[in-house]
Amino acid sequence: MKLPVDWLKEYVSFDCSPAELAEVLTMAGHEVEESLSLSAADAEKAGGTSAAAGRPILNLKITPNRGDCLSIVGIAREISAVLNTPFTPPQVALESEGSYGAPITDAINIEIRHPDLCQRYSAILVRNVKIGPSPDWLKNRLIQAGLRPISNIVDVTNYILWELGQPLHAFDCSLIKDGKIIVRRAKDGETITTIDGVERRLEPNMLVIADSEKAVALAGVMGGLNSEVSDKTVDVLIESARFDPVSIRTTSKRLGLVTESSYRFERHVDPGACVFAAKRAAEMMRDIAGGEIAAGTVDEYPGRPDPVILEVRPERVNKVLGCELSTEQMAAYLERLGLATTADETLRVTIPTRRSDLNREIDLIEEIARIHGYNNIPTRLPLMPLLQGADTEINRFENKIRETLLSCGGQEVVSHTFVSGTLVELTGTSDIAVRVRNPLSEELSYLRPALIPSLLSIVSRNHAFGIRDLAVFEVGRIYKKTADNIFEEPRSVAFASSGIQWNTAWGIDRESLRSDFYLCKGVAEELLNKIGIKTCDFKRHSVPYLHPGRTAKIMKDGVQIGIIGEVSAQTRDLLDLRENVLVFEMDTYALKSLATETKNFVPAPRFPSVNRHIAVVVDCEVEYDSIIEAAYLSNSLIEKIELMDVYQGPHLPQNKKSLTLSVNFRSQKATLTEEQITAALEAVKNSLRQAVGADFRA
Amino acid sequence: MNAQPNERPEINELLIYVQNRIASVSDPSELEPIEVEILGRKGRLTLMLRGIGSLPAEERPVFGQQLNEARRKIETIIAERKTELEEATAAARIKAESLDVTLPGRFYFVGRKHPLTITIEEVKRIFIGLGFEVFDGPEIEDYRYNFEALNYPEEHPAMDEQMSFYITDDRLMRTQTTAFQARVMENRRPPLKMITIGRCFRYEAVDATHSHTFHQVDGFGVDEGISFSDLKGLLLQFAREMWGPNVKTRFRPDFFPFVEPGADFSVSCVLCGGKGCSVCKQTGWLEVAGAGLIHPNVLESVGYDSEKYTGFAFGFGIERMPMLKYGIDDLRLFLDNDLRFLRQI
Repeated sequence: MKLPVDWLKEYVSFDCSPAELAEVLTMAGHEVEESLSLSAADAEKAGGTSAAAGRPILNLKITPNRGDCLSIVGIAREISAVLNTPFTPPQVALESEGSYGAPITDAINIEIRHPDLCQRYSAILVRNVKIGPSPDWLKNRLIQAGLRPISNIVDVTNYILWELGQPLHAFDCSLIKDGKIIVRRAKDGETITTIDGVERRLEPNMLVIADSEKAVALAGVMGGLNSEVSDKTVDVLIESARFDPVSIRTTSKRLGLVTESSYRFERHVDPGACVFAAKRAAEMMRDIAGGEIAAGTVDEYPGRPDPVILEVRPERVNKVLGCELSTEQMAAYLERLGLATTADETLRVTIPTRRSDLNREIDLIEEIARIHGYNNIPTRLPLMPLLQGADTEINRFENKIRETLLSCGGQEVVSHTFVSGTLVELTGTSDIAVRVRNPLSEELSYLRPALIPSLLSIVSRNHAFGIRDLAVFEVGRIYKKTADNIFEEPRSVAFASSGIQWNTAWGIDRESLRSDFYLCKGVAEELLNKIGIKTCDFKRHSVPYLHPGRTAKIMKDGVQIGIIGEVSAQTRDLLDLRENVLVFEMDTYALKSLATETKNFVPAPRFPSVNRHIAVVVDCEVEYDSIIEAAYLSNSLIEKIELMDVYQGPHLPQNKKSLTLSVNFRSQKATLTEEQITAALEAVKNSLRQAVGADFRA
Repeated sequence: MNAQPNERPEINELLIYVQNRIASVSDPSELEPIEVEILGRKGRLTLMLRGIGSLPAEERPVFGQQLNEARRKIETIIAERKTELEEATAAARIKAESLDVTLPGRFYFVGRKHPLTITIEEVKRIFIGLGFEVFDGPEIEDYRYNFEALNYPEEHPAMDEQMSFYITDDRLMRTQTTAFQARVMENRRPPLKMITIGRCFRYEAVDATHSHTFHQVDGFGVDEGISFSDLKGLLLQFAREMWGPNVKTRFRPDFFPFVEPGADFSVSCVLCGGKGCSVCKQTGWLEVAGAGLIHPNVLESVGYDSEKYTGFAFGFGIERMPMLKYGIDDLRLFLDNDLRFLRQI
């Protein structure tokens, strides 16, 4: 809200610069977002004169609980309270009603049909006005406040809105059929053309001001074109009302129409000040538009609030704030805010109707703190019982995963929760993916059901940047809904790599370093190993977006805990991936439940081992796991089998492959003899012949 | 090596001979034959020593002495030459093995943590050190926990800054991590000191300083006798750990429905030290958190006795912290995952 400093000075005296004033207001809870002034050119362009230029203006951010501060007078009262300087609010002389010609009550009749939505409706009639431009001083005030001068009558209503915070509306009284003002809900299908020229279709929960025939204003939001003040207007009816904040907010949101009026009604307008504001407007209209004020006021006030008196316990104030203020000091602070206070054992504080934010003791404790100054409250560390600080177990487990994947060369990434439908379809998870009802765009319409698709789009973007050598991983939440619409937020870990994981590799055979299924599997195995999950099985598997021959599910004790594979050619095309990409993803909660923290130390062996290489020739389809399993089963002297090489090529028949295995034999009881080793090796070979039809190359 | 007075000419000749021989040698192994030729059992000097008996008795002592001296000299010059040759060989080998030490090192990519992770770990470290327990709440949150339990009146303008993404009528993407407060308090009793860190979502278009997705840390403590002073002390302690011991802090009144008194917490600008710069918009202060004492309505809604218990609450934006630390001026960089950015961390 723009606050011309000159205007402010009419109601409060202060002796500080605009910058100091900005600091005072900010520290009282009314943040000054900027200090500005108009240039002469701006002033003239806005319809004012150069006299408006160069004068200090503060732009305030008023918090939504302080509707009473959305006015010059409201802020003046705050400044007076903080600086403890005199506050001189505007006055009206219109005290003795009925002395101003034919009474308004002859002309106007008010009916409030929904007292819950309109707590008060008051009006004053000003006759024989001459519509014309406002005087320069008034125009300049308005443009400094950021408002547009229109005509003397409309300008007065805006001036009062800014000065007192009371939204007013001026009707051309001759256009109010039968002098009847009805505050009612809109009829189904009713329309009104507001003064901005837009025809608006109304809904039954919207409040309108109507005459005996038609809606003439959208209550508290904007007037109707059909009753607008124009050059021909002679008699002006000034509306000064109090509408329900929720009703105004709902209407304003529904119509997408926010006005200075609706903004204030949403944030509470003082029902006690309606008549005062109407009188002040009437006096101004008389003074600048030559009108005559009709005798009396019409004022329907069905929603008069009960008087609010709050008790404040001084010892509670000091306990809550950590201060040692005297009762007198507290009372003085409240009085400075215009809150009448009587002091006894407790303070009894009368809450004026303008302060809808003061509802219980704690609200007044805040007021005392505010005027005392937050910076004057002592600072100390909480004297609480010693509590054990700790992270959650799952977070700590995720950290362990993170550290492992970092050490494997993975760059951590953090991807968006919102993903496109395309990525969801890619993974074939539409049935379990959570959809946002009101997404910002289709690209952001789902919550990610898995991490791999998000990693692939990150890889794709980096490929486009020219970064093709990369390994990235993410540890985080994914989102699913179950068949019975329960939302779940499991945690997942995923890894993706492409190209060569070497930053600088001159003089090395780069191709041998290129990411492939087995390099990716190595990372997955290192992760499993690090968190203490031994002997997982990798079983051939099928996933919609991965290469059908190069995909596996990761199994532990018959339960799937993840997938690993190479991205299919179609996926590469779809996501514009410029390199082969390898991925894996695992369920973090599953990993955590399987992880073993303890690692048991095994003593170094006492007897030497013997190593033999064998070249096992099998059909290409035979899987390594079945060979190893058969080998281990053959005898108990095998300590370890390591794969040295896999060969396929001209030296073998087609559809055959040769695996060179390094087999380690060891006994825990004695040094093995040559005969034992030969027998053991022969047992291995026999087992492989039977189990997988193996031959052996010399 | 000058000939000594009275020195026998054959000794001098021998010395000159040895000097010439070893000078022409280029490998230390060639010195051994020379040593044998002169000093060996049948070496020339050995033979001269044996022939000493054929000299007149009075000349024998002097000649013997001169021969012994010559022997020492020869041994010395051979040893010196040997050392000289060995050093030269070693130097040649080192020269041949020398590398261009300015060629780049070979290395594989080592991953870096994401800057948000680094920040979150740092924030956790500080609060855990202050005795806070971490809690993880859902991101798909109940409307009730996100708003109602936090004392938001129905259709209140305070919600204008909390435009939400809805999943169903009563479930939304949490707009603030503060949503965890009632969740925790419903199931626990004071004393409590809790934080939560995570994602929040607001219906906002993305630009350099706004995003529909961002991170917050929210914390609260509830016990008997908690006062506004405690909140001030706690956040001062956090700020000193986070931004250094010289950081200055400021509290000013602000409004959040779930706290009363409500405050905005600012720290002296970590870039200009409070003098005023573009980052702090010339104010010298950076607003880093919303805070306050937990509103009695919130405590009462979870069944706490608000006369007996009071509590503090605070919430920081996470992204702001690495933006200040690394001089990042565009919020979008965090979730864009451009490796040209992430690899700089």
